[in-house]
Amino acid sequence: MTDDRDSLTPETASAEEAVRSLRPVSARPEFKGRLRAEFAEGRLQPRLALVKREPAGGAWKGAFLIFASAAVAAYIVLQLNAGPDWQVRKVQGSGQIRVDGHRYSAGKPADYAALLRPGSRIQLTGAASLQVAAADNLIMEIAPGSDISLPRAPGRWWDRQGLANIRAGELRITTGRAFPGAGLLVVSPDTHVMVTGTTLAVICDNGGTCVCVCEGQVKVGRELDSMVVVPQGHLRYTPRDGSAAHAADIRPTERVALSDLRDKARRVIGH
Amino acid sequence: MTHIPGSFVTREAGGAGGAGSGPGTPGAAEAPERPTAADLERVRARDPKALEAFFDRYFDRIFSLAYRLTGDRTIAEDAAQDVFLKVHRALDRLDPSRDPYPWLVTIATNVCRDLWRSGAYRMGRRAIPLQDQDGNEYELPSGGESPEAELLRTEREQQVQLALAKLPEGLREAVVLHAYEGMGHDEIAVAFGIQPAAQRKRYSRGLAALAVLLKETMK
Repeated sequence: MTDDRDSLTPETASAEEAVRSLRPVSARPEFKGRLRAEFAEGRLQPRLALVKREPAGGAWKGAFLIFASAAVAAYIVLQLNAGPDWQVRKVQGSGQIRVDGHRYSAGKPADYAALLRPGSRIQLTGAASLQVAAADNLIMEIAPGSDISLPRAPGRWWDRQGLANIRAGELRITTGRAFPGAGLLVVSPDTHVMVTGTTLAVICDNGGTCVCVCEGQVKVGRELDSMVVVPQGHLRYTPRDGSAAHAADIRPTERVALSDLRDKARRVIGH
Repeated sequence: MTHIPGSFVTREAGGAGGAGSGPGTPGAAEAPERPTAADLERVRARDPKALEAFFDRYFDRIFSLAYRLTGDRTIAEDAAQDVFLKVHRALDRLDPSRDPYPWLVTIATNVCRDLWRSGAYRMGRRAIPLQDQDGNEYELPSGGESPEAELLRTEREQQVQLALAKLPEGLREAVVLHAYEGMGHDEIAVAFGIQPAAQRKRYSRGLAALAVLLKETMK
């Protein structure tokens, strides 16, 4: 049987003989006839039965692959859309910074820079001020003694509305070349400030909130549906006691500070 | 001995226990006469009549081989259809100067290997071999034996087929292609790109494993 036949034991020789004596088997005549005709005419197709018979593995595997591909694609799109992270640009003065309750020396931004995320609460004490930037969307300067929450930087294609809170102190904001079409709502204890492309300051003191507009215009109001426009070069003060808000020319100190911020920011984030 | 010119096949026709790398009488039908080069040229040109003749010449052996490799009639039909589909698509590569049968066997074995690894085969393995999907007994040629002898032989074949199905695929291929299909070890080695010594070793291990399985079955 084989050229190694001499080495076969009686058991293996018997097994070989058992296989060798298996008879040929025949296909169903109707299957053979159909296959013959299709082969001769070049009409053969892969067996559908194969596809049908493995739905448990095949369909689930296919569905899983589709789901996984969609999930990966969605993740990539979400990552591409996500607004830029906040970066520390400049720290001036000495003091401490609390990020979400954790205290750091403001002069050591490496210790806390990675913690600055949308929604992070930042409290500055002492004489420290902090300037943070979200790529070419926004630059915010947080004055000493401020207590704010960072907004989310606008997404690339959607989710382009951000929300910041100021509880105390002063927040100077200037928008960059990637900001048009986006919006930022700054909420203080006294008013709402809608920013759509401008340079402004939101000052929150014990008596109320002052919004100083250096460039462009913003909308300010106690309620979102009753906001008024504050034009460039003006301010609007909203008292905390509920009395009527009033308008005036922008504070000279803010005009200088905001112009300086805008000019420096323009070199960094354009617009 | 039938020497097939232009191919790597030297097939022995009949006679158990012959020398050489061929296995002697295979369990499957005897190797069909090789088509002439002119026949194969017409097959290459996809002449319908030549394709029918080609199909008639090889289908039964390919189906039988697929059945012995998979142990399931429906899957063997799937395999046979896939084999002839692949053959039709690859006819441009058919060499009329060579025997096409080893090429067909290689395709059939690869198709069966793909099916073993598919969910279809694993599901098919749950079915009882030698029965069709409706549970009807599989038809085997009776050979004119008495009903009792035929029953015994059928039962014995079922046991052998079950034992073959339990072999790892590499060993099963080695055993079926050599002992049942009648291919020589060298021929099998060339077809699957392995060393002849490796094929002999697989065959030897396969037979030893099969002997153990059959011994357990006979208890």
